[in-house]
Amino acid sequence: MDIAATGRIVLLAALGFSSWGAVAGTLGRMRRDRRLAESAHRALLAAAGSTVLGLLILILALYIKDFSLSYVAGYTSRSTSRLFTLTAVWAGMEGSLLLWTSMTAIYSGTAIWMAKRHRPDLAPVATAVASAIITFFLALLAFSANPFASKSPVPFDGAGLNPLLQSPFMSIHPIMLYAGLTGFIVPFCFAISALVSGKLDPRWFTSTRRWTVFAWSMLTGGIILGGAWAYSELGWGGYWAWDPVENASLLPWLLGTAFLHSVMIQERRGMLKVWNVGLILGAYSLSIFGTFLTRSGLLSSVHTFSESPVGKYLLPLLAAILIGSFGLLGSRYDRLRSRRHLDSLLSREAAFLFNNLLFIAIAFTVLWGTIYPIVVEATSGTRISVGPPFFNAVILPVGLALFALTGIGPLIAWRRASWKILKRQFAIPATCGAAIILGLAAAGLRSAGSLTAIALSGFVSVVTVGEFVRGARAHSTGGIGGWLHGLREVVGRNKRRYGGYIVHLGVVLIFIGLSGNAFKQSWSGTVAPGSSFRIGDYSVRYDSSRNFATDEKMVNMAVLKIAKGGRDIGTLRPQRNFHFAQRQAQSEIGIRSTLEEDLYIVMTRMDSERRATFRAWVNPLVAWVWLGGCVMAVGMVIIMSARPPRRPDPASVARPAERAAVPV
Amino acid sequence: MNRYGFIGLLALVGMSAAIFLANRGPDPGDVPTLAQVATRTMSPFCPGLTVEECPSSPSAVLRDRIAQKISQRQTNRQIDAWLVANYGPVVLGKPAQAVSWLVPALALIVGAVILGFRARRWMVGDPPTEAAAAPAPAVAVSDLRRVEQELTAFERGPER
Repeated sequence: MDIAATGRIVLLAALGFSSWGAVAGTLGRMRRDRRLAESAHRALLAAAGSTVLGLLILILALYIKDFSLSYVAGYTSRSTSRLFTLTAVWAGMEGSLLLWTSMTAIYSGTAIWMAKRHRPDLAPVATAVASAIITFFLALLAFSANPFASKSPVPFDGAGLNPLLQSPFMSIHPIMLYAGLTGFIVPFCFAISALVSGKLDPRWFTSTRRWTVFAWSMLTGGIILGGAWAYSELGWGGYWAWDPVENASLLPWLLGTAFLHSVMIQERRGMLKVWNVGLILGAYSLSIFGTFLTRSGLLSSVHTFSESPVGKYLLPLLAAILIGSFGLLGSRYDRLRSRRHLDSLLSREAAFLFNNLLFIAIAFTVLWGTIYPIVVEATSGTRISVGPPFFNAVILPVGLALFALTGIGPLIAWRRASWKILKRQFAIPATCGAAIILGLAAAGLRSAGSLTAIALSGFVSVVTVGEFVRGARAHSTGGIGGWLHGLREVVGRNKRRYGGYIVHLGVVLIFIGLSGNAFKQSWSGTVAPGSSFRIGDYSVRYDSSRNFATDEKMVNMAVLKIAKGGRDIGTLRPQRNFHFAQRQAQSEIGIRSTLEEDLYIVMTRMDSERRATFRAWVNPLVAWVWLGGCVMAVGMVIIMSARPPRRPDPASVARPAERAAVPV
Repeated sequence: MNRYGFIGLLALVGMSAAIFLANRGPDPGDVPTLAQVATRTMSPFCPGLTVEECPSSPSAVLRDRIAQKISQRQTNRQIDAWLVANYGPVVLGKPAQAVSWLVPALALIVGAVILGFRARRWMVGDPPTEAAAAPAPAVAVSDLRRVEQELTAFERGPER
């Protein structure tokens, strides 16, 4: 079987299906022709199926190591393991674009198929929009970034996978990230459809809410796993560097988070419709912006692909999406505008408004800092960078304010809160926060940011746990068993709310982890075998070294004995390896992780006399960041397990005349 | 402006002030520590990482040179000038012009002002229609108070 030809034919077929889907969906809407609309939807499903088939063909080619494909030869080798062969699917531009397109197609086809029965009025336009976007990406694959391009002559072995990508985290992080970024296409398409059709009741987002929550959850997990990968592989002792590509994934996450909070006001009070539509349009636009940044070659980052022509085609798509979607929103502004009143600035509605403002402020700052160097270089030719010194300084105060709102919001009543009741409700959490500040300051902690973060963590924790206690108490039947029953009842009856509170607790843990950054200690130096160095409370003895070769690399390993307080506590084995196929050196980090702190050691060099150069860090509280991610995942699962609101069965709703005829 | 708006504005001004002060940077005339310079200077050898974070050997050499200058009592201004002269403005890690890094703070304040006006309109509501202009039936003050109390108690309770 000629895999290259087969794969290309499948992608061209998918392109044909999606093109017809876009045309038929548009015509079906314009002419109100149900058959055309149905044909469009079938075409979208066929496009999704064909794209996924193309992806499977690429995976097959990678697994059988068919080096007649340029992509396979470029990203695998005979010695690449099975697991990392799968990772190779998204290692390069073409494969990752195919993955992106496949996920977009799967989301669109499935969501519209499920929503068609309940919202047949919105399906045609949603199908047309989704098909048009998928057509664009398939055209890129077919004519500009072909994953099935042939290689001649066929090499005996491939170049192998970048050693940095040979990590278990890299097997999951990109899939989750893409599942998050592409997932916003579902609410985007339905929002456009609602705007076009003028059917601006809240049901359009009710029918897509689960998709939005799922996409947001995947994106959250993808971002956290990306941080874990950076921490365990890149060897700089941190997990978030405000890298432009990291920022590009954060931007849609910020708007998505704002949407998930702000939509509660629309559900409850019918307000903020323009905001919510704008946030969804913005979230998907920023997803496209992110993929443009990654593939344009404008940025220098460990995450980016090399420069390719794909970038210049993504810019018009982004412009079309921005102009088209926000133009449509502007034209429907009057119909979306709420006639409801805001009863008081001291209300949960106002708190959510302020919440939105802060999220957008952070998103604007991240966007500004990310594109500023590009703009300066394009206009003046001067290379500058905007990194942690800017982002940390600007985002920290706003981020802490947002974190405070996490605790304030649940305590404020809807419509109008009373100062008297608020003071009573805030008393215990605020006292806890103040006590933490005083205690830590007395213990010598001077970092204002960390003090505030930890104090707010206490405040938010008390508020959130208090919500569970109040709810469980109302349903408790007495005793410990009764309390557990009450807890189960209250969470089971309102999974969205209490799942959200669990997500907030996860955020608390992450903020505690972040506050540890202020107390990092570092050391660097060169030691000979048998020598020791000290960092923090640790004594590290360079005991011995080992050197051996595998099929893929030359391994140089240092064996380090770790002691703390005079007691041996373990061994770390950092490595500095040389990968033959890529002709690239790469470090494997030695990490000893506890809840209190991580001891993190990188070997950057080993000379012929076995003297090794190490960089070591003591990173307090890092494990809390990963723990927080796990707790957030639990909360997200609970939220997604919430049953959607029951739709009334049309047959059970009697017409007025029939009701009058029924004897009382 | 009522007190809640005043409190909100105060919070925003406080945040903007914190941003401004944080971005003001260290005193140019002070002699810094190695950690202060290494954590605020972007490494020219590792895209996106500071000199403190970059694990490469050339970055280690740069840290040593910075440490030497600090031991010679060179100030923040002198060290930054030397870094920019040798490696370009890319090492600064933030926009050089003050107005550029003030943009986010200004955007926050402008956004808050716009939001404040919108919130005020939402509180005032739309102009009354003819039907709404008709006088409403009188409601006893005690009944109104009771309704407020019941609403507050209802909101306080757990949701089902």
